[in-house]
Amino acid sequence: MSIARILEIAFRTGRVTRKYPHEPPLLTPEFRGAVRVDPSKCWGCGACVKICPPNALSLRSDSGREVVLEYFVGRCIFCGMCAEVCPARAIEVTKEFELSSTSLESLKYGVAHRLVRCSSCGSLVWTEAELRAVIRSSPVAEEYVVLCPRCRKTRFARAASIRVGAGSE
Amino acid sequence: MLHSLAVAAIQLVLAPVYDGLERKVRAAIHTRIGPPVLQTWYDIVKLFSKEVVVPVGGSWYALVAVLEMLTLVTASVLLVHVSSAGLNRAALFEASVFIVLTGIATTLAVVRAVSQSNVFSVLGGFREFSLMISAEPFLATSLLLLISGAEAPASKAIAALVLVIAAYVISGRVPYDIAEAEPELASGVNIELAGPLLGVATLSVVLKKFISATLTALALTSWSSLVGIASLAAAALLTPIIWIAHTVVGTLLGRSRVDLAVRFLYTTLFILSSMLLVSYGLGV
Amino acid sequence: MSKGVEALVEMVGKLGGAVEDVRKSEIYIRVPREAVRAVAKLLYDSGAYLKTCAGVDERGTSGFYSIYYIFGLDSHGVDAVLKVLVPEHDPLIPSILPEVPAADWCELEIRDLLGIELSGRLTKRLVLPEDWPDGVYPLRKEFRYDEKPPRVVREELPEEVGIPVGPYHPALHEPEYFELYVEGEKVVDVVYRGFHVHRGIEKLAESPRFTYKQIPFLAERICGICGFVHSTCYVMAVEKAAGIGVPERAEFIRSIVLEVERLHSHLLWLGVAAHLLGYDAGFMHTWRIRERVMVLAEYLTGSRKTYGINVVGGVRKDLNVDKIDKTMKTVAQVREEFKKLADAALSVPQIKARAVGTGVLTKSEARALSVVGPVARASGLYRDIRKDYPYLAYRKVSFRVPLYTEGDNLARLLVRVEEVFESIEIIKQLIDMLPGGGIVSEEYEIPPGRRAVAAVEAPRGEDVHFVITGLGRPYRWRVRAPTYQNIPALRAMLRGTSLADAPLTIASIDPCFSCTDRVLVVDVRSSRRSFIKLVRGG
Ligand code: SF4
Ligand code: SF4
Repeated sequence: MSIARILEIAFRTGRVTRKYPHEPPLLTPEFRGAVRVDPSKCWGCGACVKICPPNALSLRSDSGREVVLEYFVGRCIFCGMCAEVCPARAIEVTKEFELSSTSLESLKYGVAHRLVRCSSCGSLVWTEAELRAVIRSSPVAEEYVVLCPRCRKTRFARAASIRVGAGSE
Repeated sequence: MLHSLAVAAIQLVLAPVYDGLERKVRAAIHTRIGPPVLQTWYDIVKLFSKEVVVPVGGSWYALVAVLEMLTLVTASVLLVHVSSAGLNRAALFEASVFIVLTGIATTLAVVRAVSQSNVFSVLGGFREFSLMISAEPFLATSLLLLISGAEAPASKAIAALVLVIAAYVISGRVPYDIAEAEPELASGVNIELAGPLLGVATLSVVLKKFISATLTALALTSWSSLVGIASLAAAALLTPIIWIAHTVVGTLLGRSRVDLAVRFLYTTLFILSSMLLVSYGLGV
Repeated sequence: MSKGVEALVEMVGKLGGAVEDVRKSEIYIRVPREAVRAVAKLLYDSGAYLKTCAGVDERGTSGFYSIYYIFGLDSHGVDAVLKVLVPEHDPLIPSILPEVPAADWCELEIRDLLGIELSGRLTKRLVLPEDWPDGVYPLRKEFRYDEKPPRVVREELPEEVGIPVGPYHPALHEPEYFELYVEGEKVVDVVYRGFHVHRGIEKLAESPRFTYKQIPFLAERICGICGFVHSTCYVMAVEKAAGIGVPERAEFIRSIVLEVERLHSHLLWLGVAAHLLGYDAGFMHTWRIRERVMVLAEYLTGSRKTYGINVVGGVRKDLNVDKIDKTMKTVAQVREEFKKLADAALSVPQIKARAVGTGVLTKSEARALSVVGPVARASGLYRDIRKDYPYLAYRKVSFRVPLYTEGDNLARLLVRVEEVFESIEIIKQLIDMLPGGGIVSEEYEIPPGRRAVAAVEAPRGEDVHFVITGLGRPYRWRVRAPTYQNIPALRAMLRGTSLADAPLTIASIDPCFSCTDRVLVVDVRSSRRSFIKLVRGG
């Protein structure tokens, strides 16, 4: 009676289902869940937004004075690419997966960043945090950092030409 | 009669619990936790608390479903009474009525299913009918033979065997759950039922399992000389055990196909019945 | 090029074909429009099978629409890719259907999506929904990927008769529709209506919304079961087109994960088959064993499904000692447990009784329809991409390809049972030979205008991706999932079987409908019709 062998298999195996959620879920150490953006580390540079395949991350600028990095868990596919590309290591891949909610808003997280004006032309270019990070990481003279790239280029060209000597053009 | 009525009442309340036990045992063989033992009762109570949805076929259709269930209840009570007589000639009348009632119940189920415009229901009905004609005649013959005194051991043994097989078929378990076959017919005969009516149908299913287990108990106790309360108690104790045995058999097998099932049953039961007639005639 | 291929190419040349490009496993041949049917016949008669055909809007570069026909010369390990130019003012091609029955769907798809008419065959709408306006062709470049053309209300709805299986049915786990015409319980004809769940990913991938780097994640979502196959096939096609070298270790890891995926997929299918046959104990136990594979997959990749480790140039997750150890332990356990279970399950009388001789697909039907995977192997066709076009690390391992000639449900079931054991052996060999080194090459460039065909043996059969590179993203990405190739065979398989065996027979090709329906943006809600309305069958 080989059909009865299933009884033996069942007896040896015992019970495998669990009373989830009353018992802890079975996660391996490699499991990728939702991500968390550390507001104190994020620069608002947007690298994560660019790589995110399903547009779960976005940069919004409502007021013009601020940009908001928004993370919408509902779209996230838990790939962790954002954490891989973040230059500030501000993104952590957590093990969280019990994310259901009755309100859409509770699935959105935002990190707001104030924007800094270019000290020369006045256009909004950097976030404050990004600025700080750049100053911290490279010894650029502060007068350059607060400029937008275009003004910086012109100022640098001018400075260089002064140093080299105006006649060489 | 009063005794049997009381015992029948208790048994009928317990039947859904046996069914819950069945689900537990099946779950254990599947290495699952499974639902609580009272789950079948919970299901029935819940279904009865829902609003009544009258199927497309009209309200007479609902009536048929209820009638079918009541017929099965009556049949069950009669069967308990037959067992109190200890398979005695005295219960021949009740046994005959029981047989007629089960036949009526199945006919009602077939009529109910076939009269629907839903193709799945119709096919389920035809399947039910095929099973009915391949099992119930043998069930009737073997039961009546046992009662009317097939004394010779060979005849008795064969009759009991036929009864055990036919009883298993009417329990509607795998491999003979073809009238409802979920993956093929999406509940077949019961596809158009919902709410309290589905509750009624659920009760009918449980009752058929109960009748099946009790019949098997009768076949097995046909050697004993117990009568009255003792015989009732024996049957009552055996019922859940047989119920579980049926469960295990059903869990180990797969679903048959209607042509295969009918062919298998007809050949097996026909050969056995022919042997039975010969041995009965010879008096062995 | 081997002798046989050379001779064939020469004959194609006589018919007017001109070789454009010869690669290691592809030969691109330009064929004049008038000659395509003759060339197709020549190739098909010589034993080739049609992998797929694809229409491309190349008006922006060459000034023409191009139709590509990919023929697999699997005995030589080479694909012959025919390219036919179709002028914009005369969008018409002769159908190759009379010579190549397998061309049915892909031709209609070209007609639907690119607006190229077919001569010499009956045509009907296949992919686009009823309410899509006429004359709007979504794969033309001027059609924006997020455009929503107005709905058209059409008068006549198709008449419903027969036994409906779907769009929602317990035996199908995806919205799909089979209409079975029965006499009593015998199926006499079948009508299939699919493409209810299009998501338009081919169009999406060529839109500015996506980049080469992001598409693997999109590709992985083509299929809910064997998604890794698609992301692998996509990255392989891009790597092949751009000539990107992939570290050997990455190739091994991809192969290991592909086999892990096959294990879980086959175990899933075998469980479903047991359930369809009413043997729920077999179902539960198969899935219990499968759970070990799921946990292993999560440990190796970070996710139970949609592993997300493929990137162009390699993989994102490396193996370490612990992972190797866990892999070896898991496959050993699965092997032992599955062996016992398979013995018990195959001895259940109803399983044999209902799988033997039902849903038969003969070898000649299988060949004519170019079926792939276990369906082909159960009908006596020796066709396995891992052997025919060895890719990744498969050339380094030895394994057996199970072959049956009966072509029935049992044969397809047994092919999968045996493949479970073969996959386990492959995983063990790969782990034993795992080379060291890096797992991804970051330095690469993807020049536009390159082409490549990549194929991967998915659990359900051959998956084909055809890529033409563009700027920052593919110019065209054509996906042909295995089920696309196998569904048309269902008609042959279902005719004459009993209704009770229809669910098992449909399931026996291990269909994956979302894979098949990947082509176009369709609003499922508005294109839904009431299929539930019934008329008595037979
Ligand atoms: S710093 Fe990191 S988290 Fe913040 S925007 Fe840039 S990539 Fe995203
Ligand atoms: S984990 Fe992936 S999907 Fe989620 S936010 Fe990061 S990049 Fe986007």
